[in-house]
Amino acid sequence: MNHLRNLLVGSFVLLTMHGYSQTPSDTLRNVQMQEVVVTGNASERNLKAPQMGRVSMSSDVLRAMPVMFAEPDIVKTLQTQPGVTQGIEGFTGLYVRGGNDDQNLFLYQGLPLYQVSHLGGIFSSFNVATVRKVDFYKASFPAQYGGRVSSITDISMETPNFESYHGRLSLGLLSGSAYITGPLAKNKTAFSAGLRRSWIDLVSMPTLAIVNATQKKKGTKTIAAYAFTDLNLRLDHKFSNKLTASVVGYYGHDNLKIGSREFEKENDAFAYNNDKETMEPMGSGDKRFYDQDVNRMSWGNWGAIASLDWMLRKGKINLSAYYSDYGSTYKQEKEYQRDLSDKETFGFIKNTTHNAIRDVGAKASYYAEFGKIYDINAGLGGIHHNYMPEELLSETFNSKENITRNNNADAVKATEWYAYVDNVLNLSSWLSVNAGVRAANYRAQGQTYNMLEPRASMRVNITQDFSIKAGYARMNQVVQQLSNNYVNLPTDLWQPVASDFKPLQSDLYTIGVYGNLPLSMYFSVEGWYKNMQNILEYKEGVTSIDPNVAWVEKLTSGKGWAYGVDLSVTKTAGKFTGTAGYGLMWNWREFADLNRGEKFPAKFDNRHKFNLNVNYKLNEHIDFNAGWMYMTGNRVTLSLYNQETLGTDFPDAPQTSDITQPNDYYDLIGLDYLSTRNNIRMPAYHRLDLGMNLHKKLRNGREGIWNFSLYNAYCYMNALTIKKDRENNYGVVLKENWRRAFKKVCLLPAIPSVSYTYIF
Amino acid sequence: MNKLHTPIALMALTFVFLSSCYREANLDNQREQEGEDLLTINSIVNTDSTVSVAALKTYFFSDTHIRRVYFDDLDMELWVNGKQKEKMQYNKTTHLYESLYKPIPDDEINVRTVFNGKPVEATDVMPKAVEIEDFSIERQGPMINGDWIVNYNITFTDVANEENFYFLKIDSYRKGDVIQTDYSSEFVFQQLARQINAYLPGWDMLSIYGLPFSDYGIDGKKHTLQVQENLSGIDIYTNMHGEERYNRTIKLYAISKNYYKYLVTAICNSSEGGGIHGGMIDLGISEPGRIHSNVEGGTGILGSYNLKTCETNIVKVLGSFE
Repeated sequence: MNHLRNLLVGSFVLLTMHGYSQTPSDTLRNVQMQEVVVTGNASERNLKAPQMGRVSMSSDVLRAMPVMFAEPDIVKTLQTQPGVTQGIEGFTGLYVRGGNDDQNLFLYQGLPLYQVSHLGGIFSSFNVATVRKVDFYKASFPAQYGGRVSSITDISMETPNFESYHGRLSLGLLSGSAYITGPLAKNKTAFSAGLRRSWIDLVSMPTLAIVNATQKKKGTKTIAAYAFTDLNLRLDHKFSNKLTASVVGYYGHDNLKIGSREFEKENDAFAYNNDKETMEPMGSGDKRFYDQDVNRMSWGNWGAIASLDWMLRKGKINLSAYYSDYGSTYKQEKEYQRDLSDKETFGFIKNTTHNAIRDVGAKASYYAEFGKIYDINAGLGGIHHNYMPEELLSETFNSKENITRNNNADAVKATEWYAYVDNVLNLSSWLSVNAGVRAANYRAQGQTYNMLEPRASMRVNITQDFSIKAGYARMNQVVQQLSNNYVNLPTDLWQPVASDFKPLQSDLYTIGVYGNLPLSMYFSVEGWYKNMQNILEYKEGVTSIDPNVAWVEKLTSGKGWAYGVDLSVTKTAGKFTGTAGYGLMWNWREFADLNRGEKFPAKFDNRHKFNLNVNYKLNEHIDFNAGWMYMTGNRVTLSLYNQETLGTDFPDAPQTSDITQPNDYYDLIGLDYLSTRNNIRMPAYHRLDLGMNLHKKLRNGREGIWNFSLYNAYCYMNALTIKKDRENNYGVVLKENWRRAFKKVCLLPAIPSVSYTYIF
Repeated sequence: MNKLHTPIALMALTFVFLSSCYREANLDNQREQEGEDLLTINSIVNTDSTVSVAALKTYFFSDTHIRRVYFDDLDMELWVNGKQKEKMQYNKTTHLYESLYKPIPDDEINVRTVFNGKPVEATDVMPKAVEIEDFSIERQGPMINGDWIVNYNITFTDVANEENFYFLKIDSYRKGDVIQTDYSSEFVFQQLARQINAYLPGWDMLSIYGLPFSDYGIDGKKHTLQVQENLSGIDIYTNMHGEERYNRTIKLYAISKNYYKYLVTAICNSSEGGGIHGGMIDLGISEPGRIHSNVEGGTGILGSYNLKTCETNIVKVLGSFE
């Protein structure tokens, strides 16, 4: 029960459980290593800390949430926060206070990651078995963080155990994970390693074989395979009580293959004998052939970070250096041989789109507390970015020619320097101030941008149980991931700021009231306004994989603004614990080149969002949890009206579709007319998730945990999107033949799942 | 066998999850005034005929729509090169507004009207014709199944330093005959495919209607288009229509940029995409592409073309296929 409570409370109950303090992440590792017990409670922090919009949660909290496929998921847990929108159901989108999905910085033990989702976003990239805690910021960003404008998610790994070997093995329906930690040299050197792999490819093999066996007679074969792998390594060494070092490695990669192969039908009287040796015809006429279309996607991050912590008499110094490598590839491959007896009929067309980012960074920071009055956190660092915005390879081979064309954009090499200082000043019991500034210099393709990011927040207690806080934060972002889809694909391209566009910049203003309530409850109400400049989008009529247009010409820059109120009430004690959250939001965009220059609502302009999460611990062996979410629907661009084609009005004009008789099907089918962008509000979204954990103590202090989850318990089929469904009968169109309808595309029914975790 | 039950059950669950479900959505309450009051102007002008314009009503997608609805009471004006030429007359038979003016190359054609109190107009420039400088055909075959391949080589020169757009169609003399043309080995159509495949992966360069192309990659060059026709062995064997059915007209259109963009975006409007991206289009998850329109205050297209042709009879040139 503590788990969910911690999540709902936000940050600070964890203090007593895990040695947590509300200090910057650089210091957290050290605090825990030295087993400093920090006192405090969530309601007190809610009331007295000057910071706003921050949530912390432990891995136990993540595991306590009811989840899909029994896979604990950091991003899906963050989606339950007020002011955070999930995007498309089932996917790990994160849209924080009107921002886009690419505006969230994910740090894995300080290592920045560009890709945080598996399986098209259905699973996030973080193996929860390796995670100790997560700090999530949606406002009042500490000055140490930069590079994204909407949120920061700082994930801390489990500290390796210097005393003895421990581990955790978990088996779910679609994946399994293992985590092991232990000393290499007792109390000196310790390691931890986490591995997670999906086995969708393995469990789908027999089904796919059956499907293909039934399709063989029809001359078709389905090609599909998917797998993801996460690998996390950590090595810590204590040189002394004051000097420690660690090296962390992260690897996460996905491969998806989907397509079809067509060949001669088995029972076709005109087909040839399938015996490859004889190639004897079974009848006369047709020939053996194949035509295969395959799409391949692969994406992933890998990287390593080394850091050194040096405790001083007053404060601590941290030095770190990292390398982060992100890449995604999308391949469309068509291969054919129109006649297996004639090699001249072999050919293929292959198009490959590749996107990559390689970062090398280093940082030095200093943190110190001067009594209860003053804290300082300061640092400086540099990052060398090597962007490949778009690498396009087109290969065509047939009997006449073999053409290979590279249409690669030039790599964009950029250098970023930054320095920051963050101060917390507790002036009195009723007044505290957090003020900082981050200065950054970004240089790419001869263009230099100097960015100054002031951050400040203040808390004033108006009574013993109520306080008011106000904050402001400016953030900049020099790379954006663009998508033409409602579902952000992992292969969507990251496009850097270079000579053509300025860095994305946001200004976030927040004001809130915080207080304690009876029955161990507390609340927060935050009003906010966010202004975003230089958001990039694809121009209308352009897609990311159009090879005929240079990447910078595909983009257009605009602005966005969003505002709203987030409210949460949390209960932290008693049999039931839980939280209720409500978010009210307006979210707008305006681009000179989109929607005729007029402002339009953002895709995730979700006006209302309500979350209720409760946890009930029956006894030491059984706990239950439940989460219910209601949200105003997303917005989509949908052509409601059709315009007439040229059809039979201009029969001599060159056209690319059928021209037959006036008012027949082809004459009336029409073309989609698009009025305004994101013109349709989808139906409201709501869902109930249920979960139960059964804990069983085993011998030698080991433990087994069965997790049972039911996603979308009352099986409400939420709409993913709306499509235009054309079911007309061809030929003469009579009234009864005209069958067209808008149809909701619904994806996820109730999904039961189970997993077992063995802890040793 | 029992060992198979578990993975099969798991996969069944996976497929339930992965298979999407469609439910009808009533969007009547989303009807937009803009859509209800929208005028579609369609007009394709050429140097061989007078300018005519269709003025049509759009329709709500799910409404029953069994005939085109033309507006017959508009004041439709034709302007040429910035000067008013004439007021067009509505022809009740063709449902078109018709003029007496036959455009010439480089004419700036403008049609304008007022619809529901708002001005609606469109402008396009008539392209110059492109000459077919050389033309030849070859044949390959017979293939093992009796089919023959006819290769067409059509040579023309693109005008340098300007954007030019074209349309190629291999047509039959006899109306109703379908000529399936394979454009896939021709460079300019591969460029078109790359552009369209950005929306519709797996889209094939096969068409019986013809395809547009641009001078991307051949700007200012003499270029020989190479396309293929597959002559069915069975059709040859049956020889139903004698030599007449081997008559071919090669139509090379110079088309305006607006018309090219309209045709390409119309192809992309198809929902029959393949692959992951195509599947997303089909599901309605992708941001839809807008059909190109140069009609201000409404929608539709005012396009123009200039046609050059050459004719041949493939049997007379290549000899009998039997």
